[in-house]
Parts: sequence; structure tokens; C-alpha cells
Amino acid sequence: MNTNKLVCIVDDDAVYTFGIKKLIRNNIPDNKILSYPNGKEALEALQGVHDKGGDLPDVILLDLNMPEMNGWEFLKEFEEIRKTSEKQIQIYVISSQVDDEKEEVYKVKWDDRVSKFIKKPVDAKHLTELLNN
Amino acid sequence: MTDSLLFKQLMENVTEAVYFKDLESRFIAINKALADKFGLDDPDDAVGKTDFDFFGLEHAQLALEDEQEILTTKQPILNKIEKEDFKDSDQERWSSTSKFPLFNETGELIGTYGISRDITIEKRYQERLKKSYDDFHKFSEQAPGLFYVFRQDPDGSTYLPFASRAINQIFELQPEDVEHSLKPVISRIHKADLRRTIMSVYIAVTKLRQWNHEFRMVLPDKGIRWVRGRAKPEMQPDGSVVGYGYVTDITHLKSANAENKRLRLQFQSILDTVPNLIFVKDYDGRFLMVNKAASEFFGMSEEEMIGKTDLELGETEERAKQFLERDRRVIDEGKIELIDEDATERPDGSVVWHQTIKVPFVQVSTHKKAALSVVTDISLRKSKENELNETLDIIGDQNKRLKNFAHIVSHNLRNHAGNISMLLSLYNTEETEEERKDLMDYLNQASERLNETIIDLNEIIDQQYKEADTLKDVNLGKTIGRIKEILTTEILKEQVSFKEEIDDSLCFLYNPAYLESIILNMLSNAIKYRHPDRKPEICIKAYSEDGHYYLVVSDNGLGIDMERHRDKLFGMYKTFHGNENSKGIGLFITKNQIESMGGTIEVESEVNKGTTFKIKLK
Repeated sequence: MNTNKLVCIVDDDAVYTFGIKKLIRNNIPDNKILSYPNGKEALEALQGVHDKGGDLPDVILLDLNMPEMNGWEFLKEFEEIRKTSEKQIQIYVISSQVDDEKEEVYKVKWDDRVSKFIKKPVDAKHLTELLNN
Repeated sequence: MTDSLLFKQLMENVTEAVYFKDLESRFIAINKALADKFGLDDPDDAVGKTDFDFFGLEHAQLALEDEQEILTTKQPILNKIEKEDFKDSDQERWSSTSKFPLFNETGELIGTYGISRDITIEKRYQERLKKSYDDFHKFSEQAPGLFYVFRQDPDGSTYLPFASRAINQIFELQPEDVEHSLKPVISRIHKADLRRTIMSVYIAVTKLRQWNHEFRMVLPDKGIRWVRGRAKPEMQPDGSVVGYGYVTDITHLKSANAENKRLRLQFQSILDTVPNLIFVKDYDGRFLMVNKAASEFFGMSEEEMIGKTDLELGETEERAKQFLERDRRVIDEGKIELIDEDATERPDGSVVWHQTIKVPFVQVSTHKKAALSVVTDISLRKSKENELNETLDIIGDQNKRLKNFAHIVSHNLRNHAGNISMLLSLYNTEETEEERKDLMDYLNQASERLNETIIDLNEIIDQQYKEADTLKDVNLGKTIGRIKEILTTEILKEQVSFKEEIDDSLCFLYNPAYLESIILNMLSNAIKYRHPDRKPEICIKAYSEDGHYYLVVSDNGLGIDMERHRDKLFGMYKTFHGNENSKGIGLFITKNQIESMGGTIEVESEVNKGTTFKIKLK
């Protein structure tokens, strides 16, 4: 089991964020969790961390539909940070807007940026599997 | 001088041939001239011989018979025209001969004598003349008209000394009828044309001018006929005037002309009545023909347009070139061409849409190849089409938004339901009471959101299906006042100031609930998205223009990044400010309401400056 991961949740749904945090803490207590209500805040915070040579997250759980900056925009902007980091950052898009049937299409376009597209709601078992990989 | 000497000189010198014959028609004596004719050196050589010794059998026989007759009747034969043939040669001569009985001193009949003048030359001229005359008659029979010679004597009498046989057809007269007087012809001229015709002849004769005249005859058989006469009058030395002329029946031409003229007029009136522009242009692009609609369209008379090109009529170089190329293609390829749509900008800025059919054409009078264009104004159809397209766009838009709405609502419902189920699954794992309370709070929140989503759903479905025909007279100014009352708390709390330019008389039929909802949404948005650094200022303008009603609401609030959000602005659950009260359905509903009443909404905004919504209500 790979523990001690830094997990970052980017989602405007406070209830969801709360739930996911709980789930992670309950199932993989060693993981640290960051959360941001939209892409813009997440990007600014991570940029700050990166500029100071700090620790970037191992996993990002990214929502798509958010105010200020949505998930796609975040992916585009975050690529700059990711390129200059030695860390392997897994990004999982978790959104109600994900259409299972279109995963192949998303992958062609976002292949190297997104590890997996997951449709909301996500259950505890599925989440644990993702984080333990 | 003795009689004998006189006789001898006469016989020696007269150029007429003279002979004396006995009862058996033997020559007693001939003169020198006759001896020459017979080829004899001495006239005496003929004595005792007969005509049969010199002439051909035919003439000799006829002469013998004449002499027998004279001897019987004792009467002379005067100026008889005789054809003479000869025994020893092929020549043929003509003579005019008078023959008499010959008596001796005692009055006893002893023979005949005669004197004969050679008229061969005259005869030949006569024959030639007759032949010419016959030829002329034959020629004239080939022509449909009447050839004639007109003559006016110095005493003023007029007649036709010559008229070809066609006078039968033309005037239903005989040449003899007019040989001495023109009256039979004059009496058959149509009364209405009589004066004119006589005047024309008078002028031609007195001024010796070419006569060229059309007039009607009233004939016993054929009735009224149109004829055309022409003649060249010439003054004769004796003061008479002679005209050589020709008259033809032109009745068929006249009636064909009349028919032609009638058809042309009819055709022209059709051309000028149709609303289509019809014109013909030659290979150089010059107008050969235009109808009334076309000349009206170009704002020029037909005369001004004929012979000019599009360029000369004020078209742009590019368009003129384009028109010319099309016309040439039609002429070169001989094919019909359809130009489905073509927009022309009028001087007043309005646009006219035309559909044009171009057809290869040959101008009848010049045989010039040309292109005929028939142009139909399709502006009305086009504007209907555009209206329809706009309506379709709006319907399509609304459909898209409805679909979008259904999509989003289903996702939201899923999200909330998913959250609730996630939280419930966690409930059992929570150990402390505090943790459970926390969880319950979130659960409450999730269920409230679920509830809200369902309320939104109801609201949207409500307005989508609300009958748009519950129309009432609304006063825009008063409605705005009412909405401001509803928002009193917010207005006081945020110290909102208003600038208003509202025409209080604006009354029109509208769905009152929609109008209130639209204004409420506009004003509450302006307050909700106020700028944190300044007090809200809202400017409201209400006015009517060209039969439309406008509402313009501007604020000095946060503004919207139009670059990023323009296409999402009116979408559902789209929020742009992270404001906790914004649910993202207000503008969605507002747009739907405005469009369902046939209006439009436009937005201009600048981040940190403010936003202006321009609404055309109807």
C-alpha cells in the first residue's frame, strides 16, 4: 500500500468535498488533503507552493463545472506547473458532466494530462482503489 | 418638152418602183428604181417577163391575184402593205404599193400599173416597237401592279395613254376606260382619301416631284382596297406633263401592319404591366430594350437607358463586370441561366433581393445576339425567410437551452443524491457526536440543495409552459416602480442610487408576470453583483422606437468578463462571481421570457466597470 500521498480536491460542491475528505480520512488516514472551491483558487495556491519549492499534490481530484475557472481551464493552466515539476502528478477528473461513453474522446485530447475520467457520484471503494494505485 | 421626155425623166429618177404590165401581167415597162431592185442594168431587160421571174412564188402569186382583181373590177388597190420575197435571194422586203388599171387612148383596158414605196426600215422599227410593247406587257403581267403612263395635257385634261392589263385587278377597269380620261379611276377613290389623293397628284404634277401616295379604292367587286401609287412626272416640250407610274394593292400589308401594331401595343402593355423587370442587353452590355418596371427601378426613362451600359447607369465597376460576364455567358453558350438571389443596395440604403432568369435572345430588327433578363423582386419572400430563420433560431436556441437545462438538472439531482448517499454511508463510521453533528449539517445542506434544484426545476418548467397569451396592458414605468418597492430592503441596505429616464406613457400589451420577473431579475442582479468598493448606481432607461419598446439597465458593479463568458451568460447554472446567492438560473429564465414575447436581450460589460443590459421587450 502506497500511503502518505498528498491529495488535492478541486470542487465547488462543499458537501461533496466534505464527504470525500471524510472518505479518504476514514479509509487512508495517512494521506494529506488539500481542497479548493474552484480552478482559479487551486491554481493560485499550487503555483504558490511550486514557486516556493514546496510539495505538489500526488493526486488531483478535479471537478469540471466550477465558477471562476472550470476544470478544463485548470488543466490547461496547470500543465505549465506540471511540466516543471519532477513529481508524477495523477489527475482524475471526477464530474457529473463526464459522459462514460466519451471517455475515449477525452483521452485522445487529454491523454497525458488526465489519468482517468470518473462520473459522479463516486463511491468509497472506487475512490480507495484510485488512491492506492 | 414632150410628154415622153417628162415620162422618161420621171422613170429614171423617182425612188419609188414603178411598173406597167399587160393583161397577162407581163412587164411592159419598169423604171430605174425597180430595175435596181431586180438587179437589172437596163430596165428594158424586164420587158416581157413576169413577177415570177424575179419574186418568190408567194409574192408573185399574191401580186398576180391583185392584178386579176383590178382587171376584173377596174378599181385600184391603194397603199397595200406587201411582203416581198425574191427568187434569187433570201432577203425580205416590205413595201407599200398602190395598183391601178391601165387604159389606152381609146379607154380600152390593156393592163395594170403600180407604184411601190420601200418601207422595210419603217416596218422593222414597227416590228421592234411592237415586240418591245409585247415584251413590256409580258413583263408587266409578271408584276402584281399596274404600270401606266399618265398624261396631263396643257388644257388640264388628264388620262392614261397606257395602262397595263393589271388595271383589271387594281381598279377593275379596262385600259380603254382610262385612255382619254382619268375620271373612271377618280370616281372609285375612297371619299375619305379623295381630296388628299388629288392634292398629292396636283403637287407632283405642278412641282414635278416624285409622286408616292397611299389611298383607298372602292371597287365594285373587291370592295375597299388599299393601293400605293408612285410615278415620276416629266415636263414635255409641248407643256404637257407625263408620268410613268406603278400602282400596287397593299391591302394585305396594311392589315398586316395594323395587326402588327396592335400586337406590339398589346405586348408592350403586358411588358409594362408585369411587376418584373424585363430588359435586353447586347453583347457589349448595352440596353436594347427595357420595360416600365425596369426603367422605374433604375429611376430613368427608357430613352435614357437604351444604348447605355450598367456602368454608365451608375452600377459599381465590379457589379457591372459581373453582369456583363453573365450576359455574355448566356449569349455564348446559348443557355438559360438562373441567378437565384442577388442583393442590390438602393440609394436610400435599403436592400432589394432579386431573382433573375437570363435567356439567349435575338433582337428581331437587327438580328443582334443579346440576353433577355426577367427579374423578380423576391425581397418579401426573402424577409419572410429571414423571419422564419430567426424564429427557427430562437426555437432552436430555446430547445438547446431546454436540453441543456434537462441535462444540468439531471446532473445536479444526481450530485445531490450522490452526496446524500455518500454522507449517509459515512454516518455509521463517525464516532464522535460532534462529527455526527457536522455530518448532519452537511446532510441538511445537501438535502436543501436538492430541494432548491427541484424548486428551480419547477420554476423553469412553469415559465416554459406558462401561456404566453395571458397578455394585458402594462405600463412600463409603473411596473418598474412596483419592483423597486419590492426591493426596498436591499436598496436601502446597499444605499443604491437610481438614475432614470423613463417615458411614463409607455403602455403596451405584455405578459405582466414576465415583465415583473424580467425587471426584478435585472435590478436584483445589479444590486447582487455590486462592486465592493463603491455604492451601487443603477441607470434605467425606458423608451419606444420604431414601434419597439426598450428597457436598458446599467450598473457600476463587478462586470462580467465577456471574452470568457459571452456564450455562457444566459446558460443555466452558470455563475461567474462565486457569489453565494447566485444560482445561475435568473438570466436563463429572463432570456426565455423575453424571447417568448418576441424580444431580444443584449449585454455589454467590462470587469470592474459595470454591466449594461439592453432589452427589446417587443
